[in-house]
Amino acid sequence: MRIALALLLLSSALAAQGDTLVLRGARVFTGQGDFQKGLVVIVKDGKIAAIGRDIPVPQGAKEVDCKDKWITPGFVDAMTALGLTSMNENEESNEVTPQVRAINAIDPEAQNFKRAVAGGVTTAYIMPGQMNVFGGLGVVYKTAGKSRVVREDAGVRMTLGQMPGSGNRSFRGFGGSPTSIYYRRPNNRMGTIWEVRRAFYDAMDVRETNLGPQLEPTAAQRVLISALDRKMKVRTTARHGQDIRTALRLAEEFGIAVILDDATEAYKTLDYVVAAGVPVVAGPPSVQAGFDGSTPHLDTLALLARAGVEVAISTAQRPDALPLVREAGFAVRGGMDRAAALAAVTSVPAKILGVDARVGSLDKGKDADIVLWSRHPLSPYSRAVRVWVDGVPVTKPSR
Amino acid sequence: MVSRRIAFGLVVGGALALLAQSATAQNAAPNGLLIRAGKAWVAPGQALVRASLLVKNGKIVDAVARPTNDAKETFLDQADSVRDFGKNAVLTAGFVDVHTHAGSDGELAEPVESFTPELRASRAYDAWASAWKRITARGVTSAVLAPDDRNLAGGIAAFVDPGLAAGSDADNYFKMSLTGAALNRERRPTSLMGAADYLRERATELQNLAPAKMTPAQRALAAVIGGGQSVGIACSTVREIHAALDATTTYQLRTFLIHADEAEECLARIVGAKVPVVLRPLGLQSSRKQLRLPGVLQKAGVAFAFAGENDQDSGLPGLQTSLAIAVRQGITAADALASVTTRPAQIAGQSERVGTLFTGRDADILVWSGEPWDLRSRLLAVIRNGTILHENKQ
Repeated sequence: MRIALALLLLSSALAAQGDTLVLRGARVFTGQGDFQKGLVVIVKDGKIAAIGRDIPVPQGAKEVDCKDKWITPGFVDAMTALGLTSMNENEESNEVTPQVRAINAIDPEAQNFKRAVAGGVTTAYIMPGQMNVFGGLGVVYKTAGKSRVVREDAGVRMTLGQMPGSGNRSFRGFGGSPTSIYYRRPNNRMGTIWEVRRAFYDAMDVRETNLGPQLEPTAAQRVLISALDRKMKVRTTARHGQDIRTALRLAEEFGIAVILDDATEAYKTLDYVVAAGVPVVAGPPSVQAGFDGSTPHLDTLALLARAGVEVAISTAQRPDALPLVREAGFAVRGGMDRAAALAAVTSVPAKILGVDARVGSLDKGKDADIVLWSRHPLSPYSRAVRVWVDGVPVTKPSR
Repeated sequence: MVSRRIAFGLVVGGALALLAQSATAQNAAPNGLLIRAGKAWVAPGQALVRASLLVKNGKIVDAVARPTNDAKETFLDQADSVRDFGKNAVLTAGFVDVHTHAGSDGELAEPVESFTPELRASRAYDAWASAWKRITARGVTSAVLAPDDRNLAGGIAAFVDPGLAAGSDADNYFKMSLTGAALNRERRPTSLMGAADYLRERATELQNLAPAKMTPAQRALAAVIGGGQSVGIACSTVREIHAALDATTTYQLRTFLIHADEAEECLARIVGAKVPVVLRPLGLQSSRKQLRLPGVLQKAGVAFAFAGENDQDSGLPGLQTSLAIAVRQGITAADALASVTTRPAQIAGQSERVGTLFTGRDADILVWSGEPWDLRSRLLAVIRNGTILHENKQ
């Protein structure tokens, strides 16, 4: 019995020792600035225990040879449909479903998580689709590991433009039947805005009249009220120039905290975006056909970044997007600074998602989500050699 | 059962009811039937060699191996008829099909509204449907008629003796579905997220609501939240299984999973949740993955049962096929037999009545020409509540 106990203690002690990793010899990008030589990263118990030059290395720690390799924090993709059936996954029985939660439909074993990990993405924001005016709540989710949820209900999706109306029908002659649940508003861009304003005004009514238990806010209204109170960020999909301006106008009208999603034609409305001071989660710059008939430009990201807008690069749920690291490369091709492009897939999206205390940068105490690259990650020849999530390797080691 | 049936006949006295009873009344053994066979699996893995079973009033009164001469005398005194099926015959408990839609002609959902917890399958149960004759002939002596997969909360399943009128205690588990069939493009919910949201909305309504003020639907839902009545959740893919287990945790449900086709991909979660699984029947068309699943579950310690589902007339003898194929796939015979007898009985909460041949249980007995997991074996007789329903010549 005593021997068994001793063995147990010994083995658990060994496991704890095994948990301590020392990554030495690589050039390290911490989430800001440029790659630095000579930095050592020490990982313990799933967290970054220390990072710096000439720091003491605990005895018995496992050395990982990172010579001639490049280290970045695990990438953060701030707009995805990973684990959902498609980018159009919505509860379509109603246009206004802000209370519906993407987390209820995620398949944690989905193949696209594995592809994301292989491309160095360790954290993703997963949100419902674009077929509803208010699509629902998104979740910040790790792409691998044991404990996947980072932050529940991190934002509510609002979609402007034509997509929410595209599934609806109007007159009988146009394919609509009055008994169908799709025989409803909106049917166009203006109707979408009308739905947004009606939903917010209804929520304000309930909040302000406060008539007691008979008129309790619905689950949907509770989400909208927390958006009106600026406790919940409103992830606003706006692609066309006029949609971006609409988003900013609605933000001002209702005092809501908007994050612009996709923002394909932000180059047309740059002054307004800068003046509003809202963050942007841009769509993939490699994709040359904008959604909803919008016109993308390769230099949009560079323009936004140079104008001082807080901008993240995302795959925007698009199945035709390249791996996030390649999209960052396209942003550089469009004129974005290399360091800014790397920050736009690590520390900036983490900050926009409100999870920068845990992921997106390599600092003491943060989650040990680390990618070891074969070359400078923005090189088209680069490959994620190893990926750790919470200090645990989640890919097979390769050359 | 018999006394209840007689009482039922007397009280109702309806012409149809009498018609249904008359067939069984002819064969009923009023005072003891002695059944002899080479072997009896009283429970999976528990055999009586040269077994004698004494049946009285629809119940098993005694079951012994190699009876002594004295015991034989006593048995013969109590039995007014003796059926000796010979030394090659094997007895098992009648099969329990815990999830079937047989004989209902698509009647088991009200799909215009997806949340219909108050609907009762016993009201759609047609005891005279020809399907039941076919199903009992294949060895199913107890069945749970379940609302089908088209509704998020389909209603309450009914535990029945196939072919006999449903008893007053027929109401069984609460049937839910998170499969694609429940996601109708023309009504709520259209998505899995929406299904979770709908359930949350209905559960929230129950908070601070006095039971007296509840609608029948709300009462039915309240009966399962917190772990009262058990819940069967149909789910197929990984995301559906996760959603089912999420609901289980959130509302503290006493869950078992139905189908769970992709259980292998999220095995750890199912093991952690400690929920039983009711699998689709195995057949000659089953995919490799389906064939592998029972073994995977057995290895992980997950209790599984087979269901007959729609029991399409494929020409194969129903649950016996699943039993035989499971054994061929490497499941132990005891475990495979349990998956069509004791486990479904447990899931339906009817272990005290059916699933085994212990003393005091319903006399639901299958007489096989050999081991039941051998597809060469035929059913020589199907006995339910002590009455011979079907008999085949040796």
